[in-house]
Amino acid sequence: MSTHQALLDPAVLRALDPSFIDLPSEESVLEGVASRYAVLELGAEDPRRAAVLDVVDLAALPGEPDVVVVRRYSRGDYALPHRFGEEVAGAGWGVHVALQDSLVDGLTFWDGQEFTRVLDTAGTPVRPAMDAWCWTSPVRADVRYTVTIGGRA
Amino acid sequence: MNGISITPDVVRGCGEIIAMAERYRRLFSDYPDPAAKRNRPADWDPLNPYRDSEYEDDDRYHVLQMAQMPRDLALTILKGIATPDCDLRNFYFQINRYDIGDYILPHRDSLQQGLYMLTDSEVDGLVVQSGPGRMEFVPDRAGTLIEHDPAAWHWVDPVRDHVRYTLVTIPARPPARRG
Repeated sequence: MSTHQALLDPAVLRALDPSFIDLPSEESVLEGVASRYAVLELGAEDPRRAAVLDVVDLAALPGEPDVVVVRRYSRGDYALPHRFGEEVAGAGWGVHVALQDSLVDGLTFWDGQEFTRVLDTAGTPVRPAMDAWCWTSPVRADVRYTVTIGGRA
Repeated sequence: MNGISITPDVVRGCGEIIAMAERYRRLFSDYPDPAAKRNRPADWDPLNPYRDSEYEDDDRYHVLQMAQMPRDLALTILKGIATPDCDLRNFYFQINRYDIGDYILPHRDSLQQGLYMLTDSEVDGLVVQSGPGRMEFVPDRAGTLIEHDPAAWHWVDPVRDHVRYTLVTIPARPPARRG
């Protein structure tokens, strides 16, 4: 894990808000409940992609970003347990990056030995294995943004 | 599914219970059991939400059940949650300790339980299904009792703040004596 000091202008994130799509309700590994958040995929030609990637320590990534998916959690939203690679289906590698700091919200994932909880540090890539279980418990902040970046192996 | 009930200030003397539990730290059983951890099969999956709720070797925390509990600790706990008019003959309780990094993975229970928080935290607490298709985070508040439907999904994320203590009881509250 590395630390990158750049911070994303909150106005940039707010400008993305109208483009998010609520996650379609689909069955999760936990019978009877579904994850709750909104997603926005930023394609290679999307002019907003550079602003989001600007806060990420690209030198810490294993390769060139291919898939870039921003997630927006309102207060109380959550991502139920899933395999990390599902966030960037088809990619060979992936990293999770929070876009703001938090003392309470974060990502829980299997690190190969234990489950661990990483609290949000803006711009710092977290790299669970692609088949690692991970989740985000109900978010406490008014709004929380993360980006998952995937690339070719 | 029934919703959750959160009742503050149910436990008296949380600090005294914790201080005593710390003195008996060596008596707690560890999850996972080291032998169970060594014997995990090659295809073991670290998350199985449908595991038997009595199987806890995929979790990571520490338990002192009432049968192994020193009498003074048991009495202090009962003094904290029961009253003299309670019938405790079929009342079960245990104290759980979570060191930093400890957790309980998503699961459902088979019996109605009472979850009593003994410590405070803004970061740590219980994630619990509070109704059909809805999850909620309940931060630790010393003295609070949480009652939820046994069929509700719930878990404890890896603890970040400090050592966390809870009580688990069956049934949720000490039954009142009849007549």
